[in-house]
Amino acid sequence: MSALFQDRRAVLLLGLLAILALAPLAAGDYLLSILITVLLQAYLGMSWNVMMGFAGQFSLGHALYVGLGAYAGGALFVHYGTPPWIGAIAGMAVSAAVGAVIGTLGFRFKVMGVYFALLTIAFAEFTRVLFDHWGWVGASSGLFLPPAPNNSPDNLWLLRGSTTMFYYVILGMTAAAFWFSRALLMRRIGYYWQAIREDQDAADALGIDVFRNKMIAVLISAAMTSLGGVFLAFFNNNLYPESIFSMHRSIELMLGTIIGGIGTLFGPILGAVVLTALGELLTELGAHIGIDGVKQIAYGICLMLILVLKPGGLWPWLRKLLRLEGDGR
Amino acid sequence: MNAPTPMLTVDNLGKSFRGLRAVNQVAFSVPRGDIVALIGPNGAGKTTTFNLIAGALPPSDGTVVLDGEDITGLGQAAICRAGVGRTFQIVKPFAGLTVEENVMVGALRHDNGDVEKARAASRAILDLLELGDRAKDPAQTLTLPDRKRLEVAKALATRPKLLLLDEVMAGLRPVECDRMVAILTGLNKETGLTILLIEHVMRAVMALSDHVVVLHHGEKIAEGTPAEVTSHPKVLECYLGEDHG
Repeated sequence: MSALFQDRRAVLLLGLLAILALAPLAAGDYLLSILITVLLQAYLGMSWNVMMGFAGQFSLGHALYVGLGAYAGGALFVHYGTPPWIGAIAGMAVSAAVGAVIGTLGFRFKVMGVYFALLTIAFAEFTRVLFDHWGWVGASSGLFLPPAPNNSPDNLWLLRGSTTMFYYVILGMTAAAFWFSRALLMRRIGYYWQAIREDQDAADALGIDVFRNKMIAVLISAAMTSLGGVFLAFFNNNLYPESIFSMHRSIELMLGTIIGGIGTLFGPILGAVVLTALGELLTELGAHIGIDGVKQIAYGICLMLILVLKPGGLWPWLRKLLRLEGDGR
Repeated sequence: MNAPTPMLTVDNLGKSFRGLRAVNQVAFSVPRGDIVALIGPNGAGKTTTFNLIAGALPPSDGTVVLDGEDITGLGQAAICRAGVGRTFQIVKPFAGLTVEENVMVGALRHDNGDVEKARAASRAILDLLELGDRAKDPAQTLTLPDRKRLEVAKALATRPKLLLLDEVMAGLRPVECDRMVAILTGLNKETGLTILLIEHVMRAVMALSDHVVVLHHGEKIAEGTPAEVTSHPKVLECYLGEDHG
């Protein structure tokens, strides 16, 4: 991996960032809200990628951290008027602590692969049940964030404001997550994670503290994910345990990264774009055809085709096509 | 006059897998700066002995002392940090990483994890092992002999005091084998690296070792110079059977 991005890659990235930064000038609220969905999925995908893509630890319950972040930020705001950025610190701390428990159980007792994934699902599920019965956060009837009064100016500190404001917030978060992921991957810990992912025993034999490095991956991934949860809470203004902690969300969260390319830096972004575009396109198409369920079936077939044809994800393939090979990531 | 502390002393080493006694009361030592070979027929317990020394398996009995420090039962990672570098008989490259990155992983523990210094160290080691022109290729594209060399490179990158080599000559052509022998002898002469190796290729054992330890059925049956052990009756018996002469 070169110390600096190859020129073409840097130019492409900055160009993309510039286009996204200028998008609100041309796009209406509907298109912006779609872009927000894309960016949030990319952000969450990158967060999951740190644990799965870099360190090779399979979490199938990342909705847990989304939910913990969302409820920490949301409930503190609703009850005490705590600004979301302060609430986020609490959310990230709680998520990291829960991640530490899961990691300790999994890694100390050598629960690996699919069994580790089951452990992560179990934690997400029983947290969902817990929140379903916890009155302070609204239990199963949900938690609602008071919307800002009409025509009030954007308040970045309290995250109350227009779609455009939310768009820039998630754009900033996604850009920061990209930069952070790249910085991690280029440091010692990034190499250690990849070594552990490829062959844990061989990594151990090279003197790497496998447990410690896997734990760090879990903590970082959990904290990043929960920050995405805070954003989600303030953007949606409503939280239900059954939707925020759902298995469905856990799967959706990693799908973009799987499609885009696990372990790559740009894969989560590409995957989020492709999935959202595909979803929108098929919704249009389905409306024309007018048969129920066509969309879901077509969506499933498209995903299967991508995974069969490009099992490593779309980005490694596209990167080769665009001759952006530099360092194999 | 006190003899200098050996680099490695193994005493009364034993390992049982349920009922099976894989290694029993093995004792030998590796003097500092020497190259010692561990030989024996298949199933003699050579690799198990290696795993006990390197910490991949906890010993059932006995002690392992590295450079005067008791390392018995420490984990693999801790023993590597104490100064033992090892290769695996069944090679374990980090398949998705490049050859250069594979070696960097071993080097990163030094120089405060400076990635560029690790990269430079990796290049130097790869050049030494004649893998320099494969540095940027994914490790999974290497042939088996090259993977064996990569194993040696990774272990060397950890800057070991003692290098454990598990059949790194297997599958090499005679010319390649001689190259590996030359590289290892060079390392030993220039840096004083102590080497303990398991080897079936007698050509390499004869050329490399100062001292040979012979295992059979998990026990040490002979040791001495290469010439001594190859004419030892017990060694001939276990390799050729009782009616050899």
